[in-house]
Amino acid sequence: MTTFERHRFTPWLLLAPQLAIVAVFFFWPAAESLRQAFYVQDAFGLGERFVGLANFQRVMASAEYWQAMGVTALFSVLVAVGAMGLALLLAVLADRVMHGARLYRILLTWPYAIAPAVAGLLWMFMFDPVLGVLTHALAGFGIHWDAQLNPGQALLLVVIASIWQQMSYNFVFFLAGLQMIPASLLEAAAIDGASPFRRFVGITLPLLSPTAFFLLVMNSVYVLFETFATIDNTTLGGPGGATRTLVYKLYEDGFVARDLGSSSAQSVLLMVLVGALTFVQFRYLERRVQY
Amino acid sequence: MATLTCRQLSKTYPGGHRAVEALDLTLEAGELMVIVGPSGCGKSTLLRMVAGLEAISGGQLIIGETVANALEPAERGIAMVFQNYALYPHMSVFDNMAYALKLQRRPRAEIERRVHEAATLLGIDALLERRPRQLSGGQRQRVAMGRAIVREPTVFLFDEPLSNLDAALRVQMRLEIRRLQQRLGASMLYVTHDQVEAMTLADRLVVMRDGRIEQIGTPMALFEKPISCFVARFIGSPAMNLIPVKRARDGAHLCAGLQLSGDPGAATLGLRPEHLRLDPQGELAGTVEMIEPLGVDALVHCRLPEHHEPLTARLPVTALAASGIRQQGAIRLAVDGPLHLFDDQDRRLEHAARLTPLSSLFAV
Repeated sequence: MTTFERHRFTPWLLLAPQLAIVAVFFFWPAAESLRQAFYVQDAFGLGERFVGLANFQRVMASAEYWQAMGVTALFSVLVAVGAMGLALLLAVLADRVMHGARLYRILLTWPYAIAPAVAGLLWMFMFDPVLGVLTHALAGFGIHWDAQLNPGQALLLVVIASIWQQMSYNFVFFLAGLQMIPASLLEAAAIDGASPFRRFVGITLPLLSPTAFFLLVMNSVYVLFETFATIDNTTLGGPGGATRTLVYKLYEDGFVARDLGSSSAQSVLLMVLVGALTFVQFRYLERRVQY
Repeated sequence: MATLTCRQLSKTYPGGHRAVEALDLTLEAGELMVIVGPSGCGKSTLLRMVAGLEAISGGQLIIGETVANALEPAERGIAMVFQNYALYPHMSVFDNMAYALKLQRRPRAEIERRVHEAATLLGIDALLERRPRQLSGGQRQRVAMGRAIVREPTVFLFDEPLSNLDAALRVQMRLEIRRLQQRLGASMLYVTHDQVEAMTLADRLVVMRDGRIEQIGTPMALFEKPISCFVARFIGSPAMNLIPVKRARDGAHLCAGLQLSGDPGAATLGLRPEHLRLDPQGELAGTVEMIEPLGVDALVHCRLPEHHEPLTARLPVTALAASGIRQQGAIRLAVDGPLHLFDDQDRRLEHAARLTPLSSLFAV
């Protein structure tokens, strides 16, 4: 028996710290939230009562929940399309840059290194109705900007901030994807008589589709969960719930209104939603991007 | 009739590097011309300039009847087979071959007919629905050629098309390209660094060096009369032996009392390994350093006294065994073929040369 084969318990020992962290900070809270979804608690957490599916019924019956669902859908599509489209455009441009390419690429990846909370604050200040630099600039064009009162503008603000954050991540992947495409493929297409636009649509885009698919999954998850900090630091879900996404409503109900049962039910629903979305993406989209 | 003419064609990169310098070349109709040379000699750059993938810095490129310097790649009437085949991985074999015709908006029936004709010619008609990743290297190579044939170009361009194949397949594809070329009567410009491929395929061979043409001619002409040491070393396998000549007052010498008649300006003597034979009375005496058996023949690397360069001879294995030639043993060789002389600029000297042992002169 070799030394390697004799160590049957050592791997588990080495894995133990990581497993402990995952268990304490992921599995335990997830199980707890799943359990709480079937109970109602008093506001002080002193007592609880099993109610079956009542929490879910209550959530599904509330107009606010469906409004949050609509906001989330609109928000997700805008951010995913915006962040991926813009990143693709920048990656295509950066792919052609010869001089100072490294600096250019590093600068484009910086926004991703900024914490969402800081990014949110940054955008809040720039677009502040009273103090904002960009608010004044827009006023110069005759546009009255007040994201604290105008629901459309509020949504636009969080969409822009989220796109700005996520774009860098997408950019890195798109650029890597572009650089994986052999130059000879595009040269062959040029000889075959494809214009630059046809080459992009007919060769580059299909070859980027695995990258784009991966990014679509990642962006969906980002939009559904990680935009929380951005929203919390700019609009607080307002005005009038215009920027209250599912994850933000969950937070409000659970941690502000102390309705743990409803909040837990929502988190279970959100989990199911993300699971279903990812399943659909893998089931139907992935098959089409393989070659 | 010329299908392709280069007049003083040059390529200078920004930064001043001159990849191709004032190159003159004419490709006749139905001719397979092979451009060969070491890496960095400008052969691929030349091909890419013809294809329109690389801008032409100077001179004129004429394809068919038209000056093609500023034409788009698709307008030049050329088709190119790339080293990595450059098949579109997301398209079927049929779509790969039909892509150019679809872009030309040809009628569907014509596209089908032309693709099927080319596929039948190459024996890939059963693979039309497959994707490139489902094909073997040889099949991909065929598809790449099929894509070129479908376009019915004036000139086919090949950029080291066989270098990604294993040795056996390379020999087979080499024959197939030659057969195809003769069947189609196609004009082809073929770039390679493999001199065996170059010799076997070419109607005419172009040896390039540092962006210039070193020599142009039929493979046999280059083999028999290399214009310089560079060509002599490049054409023929194993390479020609090039032995420096020592000059003294009484004429040119090799080592150990061998006098070289012919040209007093000779600086290097060239001897093909095939033109040496075992002979107990041979004029070249040396020590065997290493024997590499190839089957019927063996390469015998010898060392002549007073010379650093080894002398390689291609000798029959049976003769070696009969004469008891062993490593580290003595060997005597006679010259049985032409001697090549080169001057101190490594250029060929046209003089019939002869090696004579000095001792035999004294005997007379």
